[in-house]
Formats: sequence, structure tokens, C-alpha cells
Amino acid sequence: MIKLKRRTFLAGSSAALILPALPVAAATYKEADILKDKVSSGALPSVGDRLPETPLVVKPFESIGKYGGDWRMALVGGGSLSMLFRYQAYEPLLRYTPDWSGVTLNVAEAFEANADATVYTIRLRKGMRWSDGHPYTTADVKFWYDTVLTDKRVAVTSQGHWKTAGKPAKLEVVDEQTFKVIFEAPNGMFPLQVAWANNDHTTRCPKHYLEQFHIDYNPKADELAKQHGFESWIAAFQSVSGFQNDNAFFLNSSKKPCLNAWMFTIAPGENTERAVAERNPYYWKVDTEGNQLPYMDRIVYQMVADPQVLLLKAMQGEIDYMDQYIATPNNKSVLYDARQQGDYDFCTLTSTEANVMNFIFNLNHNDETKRTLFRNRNFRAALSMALDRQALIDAVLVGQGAPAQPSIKENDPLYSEQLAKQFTEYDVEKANAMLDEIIPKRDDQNFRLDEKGRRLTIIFEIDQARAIFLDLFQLVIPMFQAVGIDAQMRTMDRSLWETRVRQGRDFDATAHQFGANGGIAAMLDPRYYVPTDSNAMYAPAWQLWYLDRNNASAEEPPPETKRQLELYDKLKATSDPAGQQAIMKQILQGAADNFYVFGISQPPDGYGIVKNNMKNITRTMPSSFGWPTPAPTMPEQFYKV
Amino acid sequence: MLGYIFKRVLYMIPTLFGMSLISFLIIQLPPGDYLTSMIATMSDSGQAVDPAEIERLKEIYGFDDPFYIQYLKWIWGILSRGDFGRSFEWNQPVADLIWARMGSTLVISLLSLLFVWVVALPIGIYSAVRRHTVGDHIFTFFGFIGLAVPNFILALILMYVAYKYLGQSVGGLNSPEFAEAPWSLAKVGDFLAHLWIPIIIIGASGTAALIRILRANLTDELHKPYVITARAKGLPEYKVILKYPVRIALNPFVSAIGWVLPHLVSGVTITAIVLNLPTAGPLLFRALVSQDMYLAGSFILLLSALTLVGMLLSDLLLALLDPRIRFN
Repeated sequence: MIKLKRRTFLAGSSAALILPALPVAAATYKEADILKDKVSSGALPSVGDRLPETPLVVKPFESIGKYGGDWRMALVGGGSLSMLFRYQAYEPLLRYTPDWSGVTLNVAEAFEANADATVYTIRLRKGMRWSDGHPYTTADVKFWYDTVLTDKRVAVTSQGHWKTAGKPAKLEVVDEQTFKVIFEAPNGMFPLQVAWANNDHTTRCPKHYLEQFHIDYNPKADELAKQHGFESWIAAFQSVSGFQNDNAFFLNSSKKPCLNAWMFTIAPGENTERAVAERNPYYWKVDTEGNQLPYMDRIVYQMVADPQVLLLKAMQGEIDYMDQYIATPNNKSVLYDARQQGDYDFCTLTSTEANVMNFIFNLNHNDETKRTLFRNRNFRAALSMALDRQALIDAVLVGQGAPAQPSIKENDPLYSEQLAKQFTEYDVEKANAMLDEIIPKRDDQNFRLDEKGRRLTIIFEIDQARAIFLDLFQLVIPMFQAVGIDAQMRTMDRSLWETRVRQGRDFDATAHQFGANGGIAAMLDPRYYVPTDSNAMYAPAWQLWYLDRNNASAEEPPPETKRQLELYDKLKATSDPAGQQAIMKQILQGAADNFYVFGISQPPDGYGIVKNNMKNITRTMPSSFGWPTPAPTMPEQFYKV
Repeated sequence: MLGYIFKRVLYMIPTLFGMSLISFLIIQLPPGDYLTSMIATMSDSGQAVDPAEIERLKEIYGFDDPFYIQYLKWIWGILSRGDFGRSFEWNQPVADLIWARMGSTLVISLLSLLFVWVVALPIGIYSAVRRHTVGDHIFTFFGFIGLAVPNFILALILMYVAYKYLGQSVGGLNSPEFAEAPWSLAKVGDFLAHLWIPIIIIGASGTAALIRILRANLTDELHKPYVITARAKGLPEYKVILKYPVRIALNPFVSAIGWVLPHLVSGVTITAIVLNLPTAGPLLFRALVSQDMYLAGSFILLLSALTLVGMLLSDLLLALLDPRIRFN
């Protein structure tokens, strides 16, 4: 049984908090001046009528704010609209706590599970409204369930957390505010997954707007679609609902009602230079004094084509908050020097990634000799010990970091020393000795020969856009050569890399980053610990087997990996945090024993810049997409002085 | 003459078809498609992509069809209803996207072209007539710098100067405070204050090249017997130079007009990206990177068409300028 109500009290005290309903009488609700004018002119109902009966009460991080001001932001390039979850669109049923230790209520007023986590009862807020004033009820959830999740004609999304044993959960609508999600098998991770940045669709599917595009609700949907320039209602519905990908969701979306603190008046795509979001008059959160949030009037995004321009703009003080694109180690000194001129300061973003760079060998290689060799744990261990990690850290990472394998960070309860530190010592002799047992023969140039007598050439295929990998590999290749491995780097364009590596089986090895180094994140994205999805590039065939046993390219993994995958299934079924942790520990032990991948260093913490007149921003927070930095610290309570 | 023009226009039709086919083919050549690049972005932001979903998306976007079907669908849309297709990335009709950027593209391009001609013609003539004087050496020196320094470096340097010493909002064509304002005198002023950087940068290499070409051509002409004859017959010096040798030296410009038109649209892509200009170049660049094939294909088709029109124009102008050229 998850007791979310209790956890809201427990959630860290160092950041903005969501409080259970305070005794704020409806009469005392206050609103921004812009809205007051609209109310008095009759364009809007009064604030008491716009808010739900029990608005969510947010305790501001530092102080009660004042209304007004633009939050000035920027987006780089055309292809990065998933960033918007970070700033204005993170309103799932449940949200992560500011310290990412758990989840807390958000759109949902109550969220309860039965004892074996098969039935979730979720209650929405009575009187809550979309940004156009239309009520938000279980009808919207039902509409989403019928048209997006289970409609085979438009099905564009997998929504894995709504499925157990390959079947979607059943939805039972109890009344206008209450619905039940009934799973075939236990699904203990459901609340954690609902809170993941862009997972929850149920709060983003306004029935009264979208139904006109669906043939079951509007027999003339096809004609409407043609008017909008689409081939059929299916294309139009997919495009307007936008659940097929994050870009589609936000593009040209200014007419689509939302539950967010700010709604687009000029959405990305409608203008290629700027996007503007204005305050949602029906936003359903108030601060502890009954002021309707958000504090700031608008978010204004400049669309910038090149990060260098954004850097200059930040230095000029045109950007109020930025942790993406420009917050690289190289830029730190430049940004540091311009702090006065730009009138901003740094905030710390604690790293949540498993490692700076992971060496990924293709354990499902099409070449049998290589496959057998790569699967030999001692072979990978020997190569790991051939790396002088400290030298790499000093030369490429400007001394920031400590030798480590992809692993859980040290102060996390899941930390395993074996996983973090095994085979990180630099010992060429030992590495050579281990390799001599596996592939002793060498050719005239002192390179080792494989079983078939070919020179052992390992080509690392790298996405050329990852500059830091290229720098690291300049130094790594001689280290591998020193133990007789003919290692080579082949850089390529990203799309070729996607085709060859993520979708192919012919590559020898590659390198990649991301993954998770602790807590909830590691359970939701265990890519380097157990192959559960396509991000586990070391075992393309095994992860496919886990996702879809009947897939022609899938391959049954060895027993030790299978045991891990079974544990992961068990983890997903477990609902109490202690139990989840115990199982995750076993999975991590399996990862340490299997030693699928190895890395260089724990990633150093990142940073962001915050304009000095911005208030209520937490100065230290996790950096992640799943915990969409900084959204869980509640931008609606940010304000400017 | 009219017959000649008609024949030329007729020839352009099959050429355009061939170009559209080739451009569509080229866009399809690199591995992957719009989906691959979309998946790349998605996985960068930490999302896992289900293989079954990829297959489904492929079907939806029509990437399952063989190349020629995709091409025929596209070209039929253009011919039958002027529909250039939809941009995957922007989820908007391609034509709308391109037209939205045409205004600023033309303003900037034409102004920089004007800048190039106004600066380069007098300097080129001066350099040729007063060869090896101090003035010529100075212009030559700057000319070589203009040729040698890549535009985008110059752009970054000028932007830094504008940021550091002029306190100007860099990038784009308007300061943020004017971005949403309706056009007013103050906004025009702000616009002009932003305009000089792109115009100088885009013009720089063009100016330098033009000076060099004009100087070389004119130098050849100045020593020809007809110039000496003209002088001997007592024609005033300015007339001697402007009326005959300069006219002939202009030939290469005119024949290069064919390239000017497409260049106006896409020529300064990198500079425009660096300067954050709302012109067509960066849009084309993004479309190519993200393999947004209909947008990229339409762009290339547009550029091809502009090249052809430009070629025709320059041939006609050349005939006007130089009576020695015949139609055949």
C-alpha cells in the first residue's frame, strides 16, 4: 500500500513543498492583476470559481512571491521540444519530490494502491479545469484510454507502465473524479513511472478539444482533417494529440488546452523564431497565502540556431535560467567571467548518469569468434585494467572525477563497491597475463590473434558529435594497443551510428553515456545493469527477447542474465520502497558479476546559470530528463524581483 | 530573340525534373531517415524506444514505401495541387515554412548584394587603374583578408565586438524587447542596428572576390590596342575606362548572376546559423540534418529552379551587354 499522503510530509524540507490542503477559504484566494482586469470585464469567472475545490497548496521554497515578469528562456535548434517538460509542461498525476526520493501528489488528489499493487484508485480534483475553462474529469482519462492507449487504428504509443504481462490495464471509471486502473499482474512501479518526465498522458488529453479529430466522436473528422491538410482523420488525430513523440506534442499546440501553469499563445512551429507561453488563468495551484500560481506572467523562448549565440545571450543577461546546451565544462570559465555583466550566478546540478563514458562490447555480435571472445568476462576485465583512468581524467576531464565503473554513486543506499570499483586498477601486466590465457598468439607486429588466427581488431564506432568521447579515445587506443589489441576508432554521423549500432549487430564495440547512478532513476533506467530496453546496446538481442519473445531477432539470454531480468519483473511488481530496494540490490549484484560494460569515471556535477533576480529556485538539484530539471522544484513558484 | 527565350524555357522543364529526382535521391541516400534522427533525439533525452513502435511510425510516415513511390507521391502533390508536402520536424506545410522565411532572406541578401557591388566596383576599378600604388596595396591587403577569413569566424568576432563594446543584443534581427512589438520607428532603428553585422559579413568575401576579379579583368583590357586608340583620339579618361574596358570586364559578373539567385537563398547558411538570422539557410540546414526529406527536397528543388532562372537571366544580360555574343 502506498501512502502518498504521508510521504508529502516527509519529502525533503530543503525545497518547495506540496502541502496537504491548508485551511484557505475560497474567499481569500488572490490572483494576478492581469486576471483581475479580465474578471472585472467579465471575460473570466472569479478566481474562486476557476480553482478546484481543493487546489494544490505549494509552500514556496524561500518566500511568497509577487506576480509579474517574463521568464526568458531559449531553445536551440528545431529538434529539442522535449525540453519543454523541464520548464512548463510537467504536470503528471504524481510528480517526483524535489530531492527525487519519491513521488508526491500533483494532479491527483489521492492515489492509492491495493495490497498487491494490481488495482490503483486515483481521485482527481473536483472543479479542476483545462486552460480554456472546460472541466477536467475522468471523461478525459477515459477518452485517452479509448483513443490513444487501446485504439489500434491510432495506437502510436506503447506506454509500458500501463501494461503488465503485455496487456494494457483495465480502466474503470467510478465517478467524475475517481477512476481505477486494474492490472492483470502486480505493477508496483506504476506510481514511479507515472511521475517520469513525459510518461503520463492522462493529464494531457483534453477530450472536448481532441474529439473533433476522431471519427468515433465526429463522423466528419475526415473532412476536418483534409481542411487541415492531412490525408485522413488518423493522421490529423495523431498530429494534433501529439502523443507519438514530444516534438509533435508541442508543435503548433497553442489551441490545445492544457493543465500547465503557462499555456502557449505562440507555440513552437507557429513561429520559427520565438515561442511564448502565458499564464493559465485556470491553474489549480495556490501558495500558502492563497495566491493563485504561477507568479510569473509568461515564459518567452527565443529559438536559437547555434549554442554559441545562446552563450553570448546568456553572458549579456538575456537568459533567466539555463542548464542545457551551454552549460558544458568548456564554457564554465567564460560564463564565470561574465557573471557580473550578465547578472547571474551558478546553480549546481548533481549528476545522475552512470559514467562519463561506457565501453560497450557487442555481446550479440554476428561474428561468432568475436561474440564468444567479447562474452568472456575476463576479456572485458583485462581491457578494463589496461586503462589508466587517472590519466584520462586529468587530461580530458580537467581533473574532475574519480576512477569508477558505471555504477551507483557512493552515498546512495544502493551503492555497491564491487560494481563501482572492480577492475578499475591500472595494471598492464595483469591485463596482459589475463589476455594471454584467452588469446595468447600474436602476430609479427605484436598484436594478438583471435581463435581463427585473424588479428584481433576491435573497431569502436562512435557518434562524431560526442566530442568528449573522441578526446578520450585518442588516449584510450594506445592503452589498448599496449596489451596487444588492435583497437581503432571509427567516427560517423549520428544517423549512421543509429543504424549500425542501435539497430545493427555487426559492430564490434561502441561507447555511450547516460544511464543512472542512483535510487529511483536506476530502477527506472537500469540500462547498464540489466538489458531491459534498446539503450542496452551491449546486448541488442537479449533486450529484444525481454521486450518481445517472439521477435525474429531476439535471442534467449544466458541464465545469469535471465535471472536478472526475472528480478526486474519482480521489481516492477513490488510496490513498497524497501522491497524495491532489496530487489534492485540483487539486480546490481548481478550486474557486478556479469560485468557487461566498463567505464572511466563517475561524472562530475554539472551546473546551470540563474539570473540573480530570480527567486525560489533551488540551488542544488539533480540533473536528469526523467526528473525533468528543474520542473520538480516547481517553476510556477519562481518569481522575479 | 523571343524564340531563343522560348527554347531555353522549354529546355528547363526536363532539367528541373532531373534535378528534382536527383535531389530527392540524394536526400534518401544517407543511412536512416527522419525517424532515425528523431529516435536519436529521443534517446538522448533518456527515453527508450520500443522497436515495435518504430515499425509503426515507419508505416505512418510512409517510409515503408520504396523510393520511387515516395518520389512520385511528392512530385504529384506539387504538380496537381502545389503541395510540397509536410515537414515532419515542424509539422507544417513545407510551402508555409519556406515563405515565412523568404522576406527576411530577400532583404538581407539583396542588401548585402548591393553592399558588395557598391563597395567592390569602384575599388576594383581603382585598383586596376592605379595598379601597385599604396591605395591598391591597401585594398588588396584587405581583399585577401576578406577572402581568407571564413565568414562565420568573422561573424563570431563581430558579434563579440558588438556584445563587448556596443552592449548590443547579439543574434537575430531584433532585440528581445522589440521582437513582439509592431513596426515603429524605434523598431526600424533597432532593426538597422542589427543589420550591419550580417551585411558586412555576408558581403565581405563577395566583395573581396569581386575586387580581385574586376582588377584582373580590367588589367588585361587596359593594355589592349583599342584603349590606346581611344586615348590617342582624345577621349576623356573616365570615358575611356568606363565605356569600353569596364564593360568587358563586367562579363564575368553577369555570367555569375546565375549563381547569385540560389546563393541569395542558401549561400550563407553557416553565417546565418551563427548570427541566428531568421533566413532560409538555417532551415535548410536543419532539414538536411534531421532528414526532413520533403522540406529539404523542396528547398533543393527551389534552389535548382532559381539557378536555372538565374542562368537564363545572365545569358540574356550578357547578350545585351556584349554584342559579340550570338544566339545559337
